[in-house]
Amino acid sequence: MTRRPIPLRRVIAIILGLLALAVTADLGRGLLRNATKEAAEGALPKMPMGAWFSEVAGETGLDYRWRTKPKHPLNILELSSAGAGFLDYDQDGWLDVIVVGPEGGALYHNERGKRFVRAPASVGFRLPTGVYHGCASADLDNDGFPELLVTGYRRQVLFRNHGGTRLENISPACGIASDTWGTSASFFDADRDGKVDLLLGSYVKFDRNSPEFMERNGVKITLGPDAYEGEKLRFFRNLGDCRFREETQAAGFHSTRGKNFGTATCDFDNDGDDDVYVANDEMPGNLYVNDGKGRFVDRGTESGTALSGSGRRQGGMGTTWGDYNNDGRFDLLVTTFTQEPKSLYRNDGQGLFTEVSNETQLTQGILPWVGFGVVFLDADRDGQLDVAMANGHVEDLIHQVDSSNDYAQPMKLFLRRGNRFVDATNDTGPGFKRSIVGRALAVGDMDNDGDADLLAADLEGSPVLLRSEPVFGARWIGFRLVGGAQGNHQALGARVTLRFRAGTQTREVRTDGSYLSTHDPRLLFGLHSYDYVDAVEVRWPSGKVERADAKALQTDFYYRWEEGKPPRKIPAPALEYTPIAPPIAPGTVPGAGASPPAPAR
Amino acid sequence: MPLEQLAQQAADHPADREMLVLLAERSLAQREPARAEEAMRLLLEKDPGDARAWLLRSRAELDQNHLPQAYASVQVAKPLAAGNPEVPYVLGQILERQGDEQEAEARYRETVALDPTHTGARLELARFALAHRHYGPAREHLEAILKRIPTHVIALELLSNTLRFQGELPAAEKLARRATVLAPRSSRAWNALALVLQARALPAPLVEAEAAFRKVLELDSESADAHTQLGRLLFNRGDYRAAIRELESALRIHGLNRLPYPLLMQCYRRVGEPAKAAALQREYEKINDMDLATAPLEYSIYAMPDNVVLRLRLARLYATYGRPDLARDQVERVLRINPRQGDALRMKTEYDRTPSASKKPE
Repeated sequence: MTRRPIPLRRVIAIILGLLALAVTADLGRGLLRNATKEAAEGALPKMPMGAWFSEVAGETGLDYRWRTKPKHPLNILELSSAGAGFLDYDQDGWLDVIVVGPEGGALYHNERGKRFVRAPASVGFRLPTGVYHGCASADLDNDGFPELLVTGYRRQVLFRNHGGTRLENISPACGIASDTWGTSASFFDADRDGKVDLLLGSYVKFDRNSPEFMERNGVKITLGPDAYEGEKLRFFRNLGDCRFREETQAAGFHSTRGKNFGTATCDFDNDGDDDVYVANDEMPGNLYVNDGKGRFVDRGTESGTALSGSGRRQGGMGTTWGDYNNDGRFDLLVTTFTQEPKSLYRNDGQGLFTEVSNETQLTQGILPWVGFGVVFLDADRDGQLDVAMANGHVEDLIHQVDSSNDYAQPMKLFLRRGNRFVDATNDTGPGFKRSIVGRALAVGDMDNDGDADLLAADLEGSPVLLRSEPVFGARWIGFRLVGGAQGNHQALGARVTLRFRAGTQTREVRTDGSYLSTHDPRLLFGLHSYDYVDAVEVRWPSGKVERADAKALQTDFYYRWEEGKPPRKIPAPALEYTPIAPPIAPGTVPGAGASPPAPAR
Repeated sequence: MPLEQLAQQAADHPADREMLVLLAERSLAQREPARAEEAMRLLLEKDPGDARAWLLRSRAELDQNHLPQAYASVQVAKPLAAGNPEVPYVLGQILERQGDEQEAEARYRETVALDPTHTGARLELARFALAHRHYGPAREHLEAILKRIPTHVIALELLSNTLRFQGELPAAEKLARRATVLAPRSSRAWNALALVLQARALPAPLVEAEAAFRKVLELDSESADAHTQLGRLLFNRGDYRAAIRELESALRIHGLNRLPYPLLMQCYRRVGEPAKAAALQREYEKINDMDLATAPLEYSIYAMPDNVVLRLRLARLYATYGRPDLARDQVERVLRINPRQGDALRMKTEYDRTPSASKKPE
């Protein structure tokens, strides 16, 4: 029997089949290998991460100027002011801008993220003659429209918001009568009665007869806070319908030694009520712990947050809270005077903190600067909080006595990489490189594109608006919370915990913190390269806890989340400007190509 | 030649002026100012117009803390030694010791203007600049010293501290290391190295920082600052028991120093001893109260050093807090400004009678 030859077509088919099997097997092994590696690293494939900011104040029409009369040296009153903030006063979905300073202030309406125009006169934002410093905003009458407070020297002005079309100055009658030098202010619901209360920082006693300057090596320089008696916090309880009563002593805030500059609220001890940190200039800081009924006890010294890590008093300026290490506990950051650590206090639980600004590499390069405004933000949307700071000296003639220092100083951006912060100031766009006499610093998404933009006050110039550009397409999700009948409408104090593949992030709804600033109340979560979240939970100010259907959430969108209802997607607006393509390659950005954050323990 | 031998030779040759000057200089260098003063007394008996002798006598008096005498001697030297940089330099030192820092600083500037290579004056100016947190001028003076004397250990140490404050950690570390090589027995050099390594705060430098702090304590076991810093390093590492040991040592050495208290309280809370923490806090609040109460007046005096009213007010405040030693300093300063100030004279008598709350320096 002769063997029939195998047809050529069949031989080719067999060879191709074997080849395919080999390739598939190898690919399978590869996938397995990758999966094992990923499991080991707790991360999905790497992607480049970075941030880029464009300075757009001029092109968007923010034309306010802080100081118009050149005069040097300046006294302590003239050197401290310059507030700025984001708020959506007409609730059209676009963040508007407020700026205030010694010579008044201005309110700008956001024209769909493209430009800002001064709010029409009919809105009624007019400040009586005075010297103004900071701003704060919150919905005080639970009507859905935020009220606006402007703090100042012996004059605090509260504007009631009538449906977003008219701001009415109600200060003479509303009960917020403070003849102190008002600085930063915090709106928060101290007793969880659904009405938002006010804590007003106050600086020093200073009047026209106070000494202003001293001479050092032939140069006249400004007297610092130690030359003046401190003024103290004022607490105003909201009685409803925008009426307030001062209850500083009853609430326990009278114990501060004064010279308050920055105030920031947070439930740092995770017990369901709002606590407060107060940064004081050359005085111990105060950590006011809430007993749940709106009475506060200062635990600054016990907690380790009153002083620097070396036990020294520091010139506390701005302050903010954020869970920088994603451990579910809010940590505290305080900006300070020159040669003092910009103190980052890690929350260790049990009411105890450790100052870790050296360990996290946050302070070494910025010791010479005088820090003011400070915010946590996820600039590169990698799921870890980064830090931005506005800096500027408090002696306008400092360069005459110290050639190595200057009145104007650069802003700073630190990106979180691993367990450290990396100074990315010089690698994230020209906006951060310009030196300014920085004071306020506010954070908010001005163009609704899912990244955090920054607004800084330059005491010797115009506002600095740093627009975050989408760099490497990292994913995000945002929430606008609306409280129910038992809590405040703006849901101030609500806490959202989001779990995604690379860890767990925790944020709280706040409009306070930093220095003389007010911020976007929406919550933004960076998701690195992940286009899904595993779980999202909110703890409302009422105490109620709700979980969202994570599978139903789509990344790269904002959601309106009302208490008692599922989150509802807000349609994304089309950008009305062309984002600037950053002239950088991934490799040039600090930490570019970094792995996503390690999974939570 | 040993000092005793030199003294014998000077006694054997009383007419030899150079021998007396050499004896005075060597005595000052070897911290025997009384012997130097006596040598110059002999010389000035022979020649009251010898400017060099008046200056050396002034220095000898200064070293014995005889400030009015030192001041008088340098005033005699002044017209005899016009243009001599040592005159403003010694005057600056006397004024500084008297608490007149602004005037002292001006005299050091005058010294450097007369002699830009004057190491002592530049060092003092660098110290003043560091105290005012003016790191640019401090750096300028220290670099000028090191340009002339690259092995000047104190300048190396101070420049390392300056650069550390300016955030230039690698350069600061290099200088501190050089200082420890040049002066391996200098606790200050090791301290500078330890501080810069601590500031770097990376794992390896932190290990070395701990060793450097321990070296400081080996050389100077009474360094409360090194104990405190080491305590802080151990605290941040989570080694609370070890931190307690160091911080308690710091307080044993310097009980009125408030810096170790907050960390020590934290340590006690973290090791489950809240009662100890609370007791410590009460003690701390007392010290802190005084610090916070006196700070505004101290600052105002810093701005207006000749304001008698402020100084007397500060003296009374110090006395209220049980610190007549500090009160006395202020009163003495007032009496230098106005020797017949009635309140100051009364207060001085009172404070001289009152024992201090603590003999330990603040």
